[in-house]
Amino acid sequence: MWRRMRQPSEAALGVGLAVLALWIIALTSQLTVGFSYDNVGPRTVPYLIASLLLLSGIAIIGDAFSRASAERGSDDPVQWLPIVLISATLIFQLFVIRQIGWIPAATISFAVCAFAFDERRMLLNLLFGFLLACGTYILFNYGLQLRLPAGYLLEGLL
Amino acid sequence: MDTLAALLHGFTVAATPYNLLWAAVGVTIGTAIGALPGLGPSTTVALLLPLTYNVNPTAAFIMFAGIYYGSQYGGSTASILLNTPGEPGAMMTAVEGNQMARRGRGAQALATAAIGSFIAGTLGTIALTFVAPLMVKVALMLGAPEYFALMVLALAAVTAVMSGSITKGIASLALGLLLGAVGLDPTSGQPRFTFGIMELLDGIDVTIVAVGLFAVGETLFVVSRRSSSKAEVIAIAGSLWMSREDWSRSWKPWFRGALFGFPIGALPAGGAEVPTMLSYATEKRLSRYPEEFGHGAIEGVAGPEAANNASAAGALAPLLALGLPTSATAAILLAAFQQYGLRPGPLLFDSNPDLVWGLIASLYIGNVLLLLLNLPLVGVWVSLLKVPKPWLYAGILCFATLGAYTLNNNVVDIGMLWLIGMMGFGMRMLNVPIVPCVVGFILGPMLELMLRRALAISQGDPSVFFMRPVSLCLLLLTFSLFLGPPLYRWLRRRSEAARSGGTVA
Repeated sequence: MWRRMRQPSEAALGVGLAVLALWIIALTSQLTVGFSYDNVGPRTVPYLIASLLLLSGIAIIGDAFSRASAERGSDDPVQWLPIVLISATLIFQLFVIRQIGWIPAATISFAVCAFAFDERRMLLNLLFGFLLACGTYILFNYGLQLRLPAGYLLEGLL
Repeated sequence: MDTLAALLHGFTVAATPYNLLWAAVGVTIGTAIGALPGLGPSTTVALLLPLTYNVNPTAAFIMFAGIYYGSQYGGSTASILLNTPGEPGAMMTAVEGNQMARRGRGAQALATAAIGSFIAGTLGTIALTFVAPLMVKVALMLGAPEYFALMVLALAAVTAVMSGSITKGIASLALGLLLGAVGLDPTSGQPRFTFGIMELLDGIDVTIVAVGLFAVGETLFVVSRRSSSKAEVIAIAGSLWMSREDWSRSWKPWFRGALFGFPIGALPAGGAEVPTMLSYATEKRLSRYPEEFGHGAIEGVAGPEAANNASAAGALAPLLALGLPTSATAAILLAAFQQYGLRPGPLLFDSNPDLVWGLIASLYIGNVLLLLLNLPLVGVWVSLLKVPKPWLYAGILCFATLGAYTLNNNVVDIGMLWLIGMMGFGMRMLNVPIVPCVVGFILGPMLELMLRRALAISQGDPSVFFMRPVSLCLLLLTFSLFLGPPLYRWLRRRSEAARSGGTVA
């Protein structure tokens, strides 16, 4: 079944690339040009990129239809739940890292990410995450003079 | 003599306690992160970029060189004991070294890899010392059209060599060029592909692209597979020392490996994959025990590992002298230079001799440190291999977000990291190679600059690229890279068809 799935995904990749190319052409055509000393202008290279994308997209579509499953991926079905979990940790950090600070944000992300990898001992995950977060916080803020956010809680305590 | 004097000066820079400290930190962290399973030198260097945001450039590059070399040493440990090559250059080491380890000769495999890396790394660094100034002389004669052609060749070579399917390689390259074009157009000052997002005006940062594609993409790919096969760390048992026979079978492959590695690594298309394969094949042919290959022949570890390290030194020559990266790792190093507002190339040797020669001198020092670090302390690195996968990847992801956030103390960068990570995941799923995308991203803006500069000089006449002999040759070479293999295949198929047609008739 996977083999039959393979070709549509290839074709979809090709179509995606071609659509992206057309979109870039549309965006690029709205750029203004007008400096005489600049013979090439800001449009040329985007048009070149779009044509590369278009060409490769069309070639990939062609391959998808002509070639009989030349390459086969792994037979494992894709697990979507862990991907959603890991994406969620990144988006979670995006929204709360400033407010709650690096240490809690990283601890929670670490634990959820390890959970996504089938490590179900949550307390242990949280402990290791906490240690890693504290270690990096101390290293970066005191050793390397970079500023990881402390968060309201820690700022209150200090 | 000039070169030697400059090198001596470099040693006075590199041997100050402050810079020595950074070199030591660099090689240690490089070995440690490189030894983590699945992390190759390019991911390691990208993940560790944030460490240097606030360090002065000379010290930062001395540390980076240490990370670069150290991750190669650490990578060989993971390849031998765990059979997880982090990068194509470590593939042969993984094949042969893991077989040695399974036969209880893991310690000897690690030793021959470390000593071979030291010898080849040092030879490569010596070659770099003398080749780089020569390259600078050549580079000073190149104009914008030649530079443009050289970059086109480098991009084409990376795309052709690194990709299983050439069409997907080109798609990957184009995606990289596109990411590189985001931001203010440097010549006209117009925003391109920024969608009104303020943070995108400066362009996408290289850390985000490299870490997103390599580290986040890889993490998502691994978690989506949840493979049941568990890699097993092979314990080191038996004698820890190389016997007299091991030495006598190792030393020639070390030197031959270095001979393959440096020149090929320095070519625009080089990389580490080709010289390691060549070295493996050569050693197999020259060995008195060819039947042992594939079952743990020490030559099969010594040669490729030496070639791998020499090619790392080779890649630094065009990077420093021309500003031209020939591998993903070199491309990330180039981006690191750009972060400091430095442009590698012929002028850097004049304007920042302290930095360039201090960096080269620190490579000699780093190699010695690495030998000391890897022979007696190998047990420490082996224990790193045992970090369970969930915590390993959770840690990688934390480091990735940390790097993205500390770039500009900006949360938009975390969002970009996720988007590019998803893109990397999609590319892995569809077998689209990642290296052309990274190299295209970094070279793209420079390519555009050279194209526009060349055409400004020629007043818009594109024939400038074909009228100058050097750029014409480079462009012809580029075309042959793409047209050569299909043409060869077509000719062969035709001759085969003719032959089989003859027998039928």
